[in-house]
Amino acid sequence: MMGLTATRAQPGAVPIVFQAGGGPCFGWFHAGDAPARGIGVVMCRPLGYEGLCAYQTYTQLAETLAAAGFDVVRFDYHGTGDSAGSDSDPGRVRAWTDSVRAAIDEVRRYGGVSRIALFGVRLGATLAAHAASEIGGVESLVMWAPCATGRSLVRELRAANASRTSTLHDDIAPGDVEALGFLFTQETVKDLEALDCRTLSPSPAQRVLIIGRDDVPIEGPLPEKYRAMGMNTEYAVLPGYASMMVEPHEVVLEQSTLDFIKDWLVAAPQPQAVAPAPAKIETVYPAGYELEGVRETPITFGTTHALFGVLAEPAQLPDNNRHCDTAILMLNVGGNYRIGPNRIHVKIARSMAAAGYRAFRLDLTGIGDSHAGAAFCMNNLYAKDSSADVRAAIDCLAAKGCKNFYLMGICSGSYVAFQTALVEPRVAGQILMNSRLLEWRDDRAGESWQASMQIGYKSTDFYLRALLRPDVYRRLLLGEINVNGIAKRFKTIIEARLERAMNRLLGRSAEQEDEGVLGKMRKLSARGTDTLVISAAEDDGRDYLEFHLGRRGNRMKGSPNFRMLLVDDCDHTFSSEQSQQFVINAMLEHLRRRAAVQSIPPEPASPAFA
Amino acid sequence: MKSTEQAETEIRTVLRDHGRLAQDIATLAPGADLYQAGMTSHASVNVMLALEGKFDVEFPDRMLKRSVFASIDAIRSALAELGAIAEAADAQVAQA
Repeated sequence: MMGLTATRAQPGAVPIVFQAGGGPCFGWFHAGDAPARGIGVVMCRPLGYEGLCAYQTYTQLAETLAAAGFDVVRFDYHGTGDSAGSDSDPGRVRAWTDSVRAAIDEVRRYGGVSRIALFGVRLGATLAAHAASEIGGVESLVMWAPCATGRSLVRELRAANASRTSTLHDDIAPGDVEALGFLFTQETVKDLEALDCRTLSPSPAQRVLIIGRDDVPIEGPLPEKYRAMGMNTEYAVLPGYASMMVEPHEVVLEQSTLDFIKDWLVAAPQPQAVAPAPAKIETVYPAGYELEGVRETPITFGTTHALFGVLAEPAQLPDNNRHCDTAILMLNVGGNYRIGPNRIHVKIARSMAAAGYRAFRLDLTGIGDSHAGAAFCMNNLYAKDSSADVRAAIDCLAAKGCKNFYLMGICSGSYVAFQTALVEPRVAGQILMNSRLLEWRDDRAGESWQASMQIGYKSTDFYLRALLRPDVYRRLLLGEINVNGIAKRFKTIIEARLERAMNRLLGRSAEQEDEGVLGKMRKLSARGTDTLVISAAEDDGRDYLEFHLGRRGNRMKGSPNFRMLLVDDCDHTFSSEQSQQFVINAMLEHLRRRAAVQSIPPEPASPAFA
Repeated sequence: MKSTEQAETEIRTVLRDHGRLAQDIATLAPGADLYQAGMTSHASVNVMLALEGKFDVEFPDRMLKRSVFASIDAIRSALAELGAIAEAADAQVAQA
């Protein structure tokens, strides 16, 4: 399925960094094409998983508006995206609202404009309305599927929290809610529940467009309320919400709705008196920003500088710090942009940088802020072009003095890491997490990569262990378990194993094995490339890995350059704080061990180190 | 108030439209685990909202639990508890 537009507007956005919520916040400024309208639009994101899904829509809308003459800022609230801070910091709702206010100042400065419009989806709309009411003077407000009250959002978060798999141990504090990979502390929940768009005073804007969801159409209280408050209010149910909020790799942009929004903003009546606009300031490409002992720098790279990433490194680089020769490149997971699902790449990168390494979270072609070539679609992730992007990133980091390159990827990211390692001798190591597919065989060319991913199934080990639990038998008796589906999985794996054993007996397999995952892994190991495989014990990718590499990787046992770790109580994208911390600790420990092994001078005729 | 049969049809429609299940809803057993059938946390929230709209109910906080949305049967019981479905006495006996 085509997820992203085939052609993109010429790159016109520049990164900006500004202070809000107590730290640096990251965003993008899109200068309006001539003739300029003198209106600045600030785009306020939804939170967490919704923010990840909607990223592409926000970028496309920003470009649509800029092409129509609006100056646009899209940004990450403090504690989200590439901005400083985290969801466990105190005062989140205040920090998010202050981030909106600061972003409004930014668009005024860089656009040289005094007229302001705000756009938000879901909680982004809620925060936009509250910020607008606080500062006054906002002309137009677009609210797409707004959370009319914080309370309505909190109950959805509670429902999402409750539906987490029961095998995950709850390591969150009582009163906290973890929903869709985002932590809402008890304080944040309380502050969210206090948000209420219905009772804002003064009114947030002169005119408001409320767009209803096309999947679960609920008009809600706002259209009527806002009319009663004297705002020029329009309500419309437009297509595009459902297709915006699916998994990032399945997003389909509804350009007709983006155009509707643009036209509605264009139709704003010229005010009788316009406040004087500030002097326009030219944007300067940010040199980087510091947070918590780490320095982060936005970087464009590649021959046409169409690719983008953020480099995290120690804020102070002491002369004796050898670690910063090592760069860990973090590759996209599916269509998720560089921050990773659950913002995990940001968390890992900052931990690595704090420990002295360099960590580069990047967007491959067509994802996030890297520009698309013609006709990009998700299957391109499995094309050779992805390796070219990674090599370009290595070139960029090598020019900055890095010598040791590790590629880190979760799921499809691990596919790109593995395939790049095979063709790029500069790759010193790879960290492959929850892999479900590491090679694309010609005989499977017709199969879309999504079909290779099991939905809702777990590893066979999980099912075998489940048989030891009495509650499972009760559910079996009640017919609650899809026994046929699970049996089919076991059958598939057993058949694959039998086929392989038969091939071996008949002497057919040698060439296949050399070229298969095991053969390639052995070649990498012999080349000196280090491999760390991390798999959630329950992840169905574990069956794929163990089919090729043996139970717990035992077919690679002889190799000094291979390790496989299993993580308990962990899902496919490491949603829980606990599993994320496990991964960070495992990576740091692994790199320390490798550095220690490599610093010991080899003795003559000594065996390889474990 | 809807009848049990009508309710089950409507529950299946909601799951088809919002559950993002990997399996065909028409063949899904009433007791089958929806999460195992592919319903993610995100989808389960949309299912909840759609059910509330269709049956004109609001699930109270105490019912925002994994088990409530785990199967068609569980959803039907929850809706009955909220008074949205007229469950016939003999249907309840047959289930026990």
